[in-house]
Amino acid sequence: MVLMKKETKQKKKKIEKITVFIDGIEVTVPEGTTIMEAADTIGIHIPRLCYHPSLSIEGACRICVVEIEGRKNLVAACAYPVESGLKIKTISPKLRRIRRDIVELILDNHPMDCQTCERDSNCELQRAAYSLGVRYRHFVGERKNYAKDLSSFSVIRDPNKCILCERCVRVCEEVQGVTALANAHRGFKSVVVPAFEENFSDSICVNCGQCINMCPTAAFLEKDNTGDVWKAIDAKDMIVVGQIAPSVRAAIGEAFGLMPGENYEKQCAEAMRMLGFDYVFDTQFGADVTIMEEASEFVQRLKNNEKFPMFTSCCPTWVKFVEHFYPEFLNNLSTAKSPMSMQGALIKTFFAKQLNVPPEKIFNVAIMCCTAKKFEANRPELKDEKGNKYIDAVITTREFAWMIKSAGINFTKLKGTEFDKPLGLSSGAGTIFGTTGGVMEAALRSAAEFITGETLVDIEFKDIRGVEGIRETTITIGSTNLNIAVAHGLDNAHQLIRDIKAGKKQYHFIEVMGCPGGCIGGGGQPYPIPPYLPLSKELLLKRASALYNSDKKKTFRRSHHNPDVIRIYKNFLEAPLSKLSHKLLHTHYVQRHPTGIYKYDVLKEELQLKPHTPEDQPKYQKLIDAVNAYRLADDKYSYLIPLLHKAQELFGYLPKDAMKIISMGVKVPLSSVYGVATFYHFFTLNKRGKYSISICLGTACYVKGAGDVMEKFKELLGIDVGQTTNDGIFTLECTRCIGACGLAPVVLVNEEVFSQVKPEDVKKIIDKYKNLEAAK
Amino acid sequence: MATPLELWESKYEKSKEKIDNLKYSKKFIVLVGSATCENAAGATKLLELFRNKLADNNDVYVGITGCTGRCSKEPIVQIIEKGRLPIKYCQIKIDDVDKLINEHIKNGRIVNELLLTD
Amino acid sequence: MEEKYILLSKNFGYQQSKLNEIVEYTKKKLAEKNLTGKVAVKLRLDNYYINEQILLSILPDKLHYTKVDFKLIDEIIDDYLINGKIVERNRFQCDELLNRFFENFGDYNYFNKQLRLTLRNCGIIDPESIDDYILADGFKALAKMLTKMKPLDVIEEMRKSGLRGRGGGGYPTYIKWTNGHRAKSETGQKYIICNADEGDPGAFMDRSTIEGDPFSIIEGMAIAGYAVGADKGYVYIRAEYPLAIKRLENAIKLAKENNFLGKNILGTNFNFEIDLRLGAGAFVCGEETALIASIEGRRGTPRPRPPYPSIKGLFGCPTVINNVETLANVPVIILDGGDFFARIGTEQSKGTKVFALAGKVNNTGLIEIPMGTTIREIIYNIGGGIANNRKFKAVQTGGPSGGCIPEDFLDTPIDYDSLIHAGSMMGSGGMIVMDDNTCMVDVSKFFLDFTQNESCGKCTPCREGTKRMLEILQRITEGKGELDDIEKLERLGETIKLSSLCGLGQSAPNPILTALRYFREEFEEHIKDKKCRAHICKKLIEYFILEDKCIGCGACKRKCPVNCISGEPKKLHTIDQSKCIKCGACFETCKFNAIIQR
Repeated sequence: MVLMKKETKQKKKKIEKITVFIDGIEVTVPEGTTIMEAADTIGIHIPRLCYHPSLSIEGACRICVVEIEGRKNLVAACAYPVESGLKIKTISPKLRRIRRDIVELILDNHPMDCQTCERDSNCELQRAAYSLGVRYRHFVGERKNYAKDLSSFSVIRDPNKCILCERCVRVCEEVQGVTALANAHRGFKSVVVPAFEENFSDSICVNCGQCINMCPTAAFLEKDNTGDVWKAIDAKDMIVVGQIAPSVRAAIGEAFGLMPGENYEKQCAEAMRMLGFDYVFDTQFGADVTIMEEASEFVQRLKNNEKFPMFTSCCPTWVKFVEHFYPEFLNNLSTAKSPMSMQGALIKTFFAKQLNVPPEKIFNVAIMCCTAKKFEANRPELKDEKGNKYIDAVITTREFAWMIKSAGINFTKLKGTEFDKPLGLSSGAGTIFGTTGGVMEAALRSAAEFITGETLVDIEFKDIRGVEGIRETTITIGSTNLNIAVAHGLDNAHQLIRDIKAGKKQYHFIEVMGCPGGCIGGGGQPYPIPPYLPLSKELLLKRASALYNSDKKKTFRRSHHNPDVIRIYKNFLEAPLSKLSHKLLHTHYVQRHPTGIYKYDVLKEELQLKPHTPEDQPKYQKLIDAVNAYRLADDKYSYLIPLLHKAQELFGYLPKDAMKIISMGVKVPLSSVYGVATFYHFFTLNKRGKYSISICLGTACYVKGAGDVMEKFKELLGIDVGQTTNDGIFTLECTRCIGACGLAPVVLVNEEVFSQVKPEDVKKIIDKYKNLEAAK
Repeated sequence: MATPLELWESKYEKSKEKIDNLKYSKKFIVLVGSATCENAAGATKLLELFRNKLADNNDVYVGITGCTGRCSKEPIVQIIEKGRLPIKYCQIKIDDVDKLINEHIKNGRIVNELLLTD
Repeated sequence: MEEKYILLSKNFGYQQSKLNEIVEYTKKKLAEKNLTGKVAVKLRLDNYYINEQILLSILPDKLHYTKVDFKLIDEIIDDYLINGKIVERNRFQCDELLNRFFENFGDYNYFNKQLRLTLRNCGIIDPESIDDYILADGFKALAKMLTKMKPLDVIEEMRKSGLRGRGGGGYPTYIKWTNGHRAKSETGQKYIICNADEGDPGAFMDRSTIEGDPFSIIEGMAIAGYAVGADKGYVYIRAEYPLAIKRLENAIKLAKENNFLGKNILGTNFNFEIDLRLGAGAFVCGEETALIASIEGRRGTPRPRPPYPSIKGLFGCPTVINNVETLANVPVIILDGGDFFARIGTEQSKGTKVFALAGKVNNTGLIEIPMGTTIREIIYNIGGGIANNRKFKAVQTGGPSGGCIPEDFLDTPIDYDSLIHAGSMMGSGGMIVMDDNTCMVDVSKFFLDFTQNESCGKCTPCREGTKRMLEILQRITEGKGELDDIEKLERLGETIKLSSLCGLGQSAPNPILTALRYFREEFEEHIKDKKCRAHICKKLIEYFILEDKCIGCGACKRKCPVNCISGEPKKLHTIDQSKCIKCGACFETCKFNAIIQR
């Protein structure tokens, strides 16, 4: 996590103190502090949108502009480090006016649907517009109009609401190391998209939902599944069974204006009953079963001394991440299903049997902190033998909160009720599943006792608690030393795997959670209430404390001590890793090939699998040779644009496969390659016509009438700039000055130059090439 | 050891000898403007023509030079005769090449109608 | 045509009247001796090279004299021109630069007002021959520096020269170099970048310089590298300039072969390599931080400064970025000294500036003038006045970041500060002359259309604001302007100017704000009267048939695509203005000039 990195850096260097004056107030802050941070220390809140303390500085939205005495232009407070003696003004009528204009400009390109928007009253843009006093709209004009991307099971992308702050792009790249998203095109047409603007579901997105958490507006939202739940509750003969993840109860209060740090599990159970759930169970029970299976699996691996390190597999984001980026580690993932899926399977088998109803009559709802669980529930490997889903609907903490509000339930007034039996009782080990390090700690509590047969004295593994991005420790169980690591935030997972692959580190057991902070920081959690921010250390520690405190108060703190768990093994499952356990509680993983996988050899295979036309094949070979020349260079990124030039030179445009080859060769994510390719006008993604007609629109040509010439070409060819005629003969383009101003206006057809062109010459020029073609 | 400046001077002497042989020893130097703007106005073809037509003439050096900045008068052909004022011809077309060779180079007569005057 | 030229120029600070007397005297004397028509007398730009008084040259004989007075004129005409005896009194050996210029430029009226430092070799040397360049003292500055100067000496020479960045901003070059020199690099790596991403529409100085004299850029970069402590340079050049790229590649190869680049340059322990990186069509990449992003293989979007590139630039290392023209001046400064360079130009702007003179002027082309030359001199002397004898209206400098300067400012001397005072800026050097056939609203729209198209989209004011400004201008040119549109343009203009992230955005409203300052009534006319006085805005043109000219031939009626012209044969035709779509077909068709635009 960037947050952590920054701190360690600061520790090393001796930091100078700098004194500045902000609105006349003297402030002394460490060197490197930005104006915004300095102002925050004295209670001046400069408005902001693109800024986020855990992400790199963007300086793009410009609403944080301030005045520095003696400077002509305003500076962005989020990006400007204080300099000794600066006199800074953050409050003035001029600044207010300019900030208001900027927000007004954003709104002018934003749908006017606040009343029906999911982020109404919880939207940073709305807040900024109100507080800066945007009351009228002066500049209404063209507005962006993109289709919503509904393809993903987890995340909905609505570029119309995007204000291009790039917080999603940065969190995806810097914190998650995935880079499924990038800014593409440029200027007014800029838009944040997955590679090739293909469906989100086909991209390398791992469904973590951090883009939703980071978005100041509603450009990203979870896929709404509440409709299915309402429908099931409505259906007369449906038995609606709910389960709720540990981290949901640690954060749901925030959706109702309550400060983080409290566990609201009983209130959740009561609210679910009030909403019409027939049975209310606890995912923490599933977590305890998970530990039984996973710890046993670990013990077995230890015995056989195989497949190390073992990775936890509770986190669907992490699992998909491995399936995308590190298929060579698929066997290292524990085969145990996640707590949600175990619970789901047990509800539709064990519990259905107990109720004596067919599983189809049960509607299984999982209330999760997580958007990726929506994807997990739909994985074919996780369906029963008939192909029916074990989990019918996954809703996030946010959706759950909306349901509660929608039903008119005053959550803060609820007294709370207990979960139902037999799948509602849990140990403290199950509780701490919700925070980073929790699964590992829970597993160790059981595994240690499984191995040694003795009772652990100290069951709190403090070394692996906390919010440090990667935490590691070595523990001795019996006679074995076990190297343990915990990582959260997928960029940290990248780091860990890089170290393992390089042979720098060796581990036995690793817990990875995709979201920073683990599930408590999940992509489905409520938008934090000010002053808390998503990803912030303070918020994550508060939510974690709610779980650790509950763990302390539990009667049973080890999964294998949970009496209902013992009972279900005795009566139904027989034993961990039994045949039935394997059938219901374990799964397998598949390598995935989304658009934009990094693996070079995989692509090579792909290219061979679907050979291109004989004409293109040698071109691809040439491109691969060119890529190979730079693959191992230190500054390989800087060859991205030269290679795109090469590809365009070879093909005349940039075919998708060429971009894939380049992406993998120079190790730049495909979404970024696409972003770069669409940024520069020189590159074209469509096949060009045989003849490129390029009209110079440099100033000299323009004042001599190039504009009229252009209009004539458009009229006669029936196409716009950048388009190609249907017969593939002409492409119309404009250039900005080819440096032949003496000949203005100039028209280029491929290499041929036509000088001093008048509108009446246009037909002649077109006919010349048409005739050439006809002659062939 | 030689200083960089001394090294440069010896390079200068070598270059001078080379260029003298190539260019300045000739009676005529024909320089065709060669730049994007000149080429757009047709200089490439001119250069080719001059080179072809004067290939056997040992009195003439045909070469290129960058753009002199006279955009509206391009393409420009300079003919420098030893001991005389250099002459610039402007807006030269393919048909003018023979005229320039026959009149100016073969007969020493300046082709007035093609002259670049201000 | 004359056989010989007598060229006269005065030295820096010398009286004009004295020179005029000498000229008159020479002409008279030549006439007396019947030499008029055989020997021409020409004036050229003040001479900065020789620290003497009046200078006289006889061409093509390459004879040069100083301290010219009436007596010397007598001697030259009587002894030399008539009797062929070379006068030795006051004669001096002219330096190479001056000689080459005289040798090669015959069109004196165009060139005599110019001073060529940046373009000193363009049009003279063969740009593909390193020998030609060496003969023009090429790489001598590099050799001199490596023999006699320490990096700080180089920077001191740059300080003395007063050279300011020619890319537009006018930031003193030596400060950039000093910062780069002082900056600590964690890895020891520093970079020099030559910004050759000339995206300004209507400017082609850099292309011409590289195509005509690629070696001087290389030499300038190597000198910069030595001063800053960098051993690697990149040239970031537009991909639209294939010939310039080819010439530069060839020049780098030849320079390497001759040990002017590479390891242990000229036997010293100074190493310097140059790599090319092609731009890909993004104007914003002329901005330093965006250019760096582009070389690093990212979208060419700027980032906030500080940190400045000279502290933290390419790949996080100290990086000095100079534009082509700046670098081309460097060898001159090192070879002839900063003091020499500082003698040229004005107090605050030293040296010369290259302009691409274009638009409605007789002599379009590339010119290089000493700073302080007035706009009038450029347009009317060098440029030969307005084309087709039309009336001057405005001159645009600074491209999309600059503005249109009206007639009142024609006597503005060209330098960084007075152009800004006039509401424009130096910019990279486009100079477009406009006549009364140009509509200032339309021109404003043209420039805004350009910046809007080239906006990278990163920061809000530029991305959204320029779009709205363009929409308003579009509306005005279509006759749909509203009364408060001017106010809106000014309000948006101020916001964009003050709050945008980079120079492109901060200067994007300039063309409109300047136009509003000088040509406000044209905007008001478009909005209130729905009229375009230059007849450029199509939708505002009214076509009208003149009663006394129309013969009723019916040609216009037949051409009209919407059948809005009526009239009996051989009788006056009329246009139904409510139906007219202003296509102009009738106007083009009428052979009797009976249809006018109004």
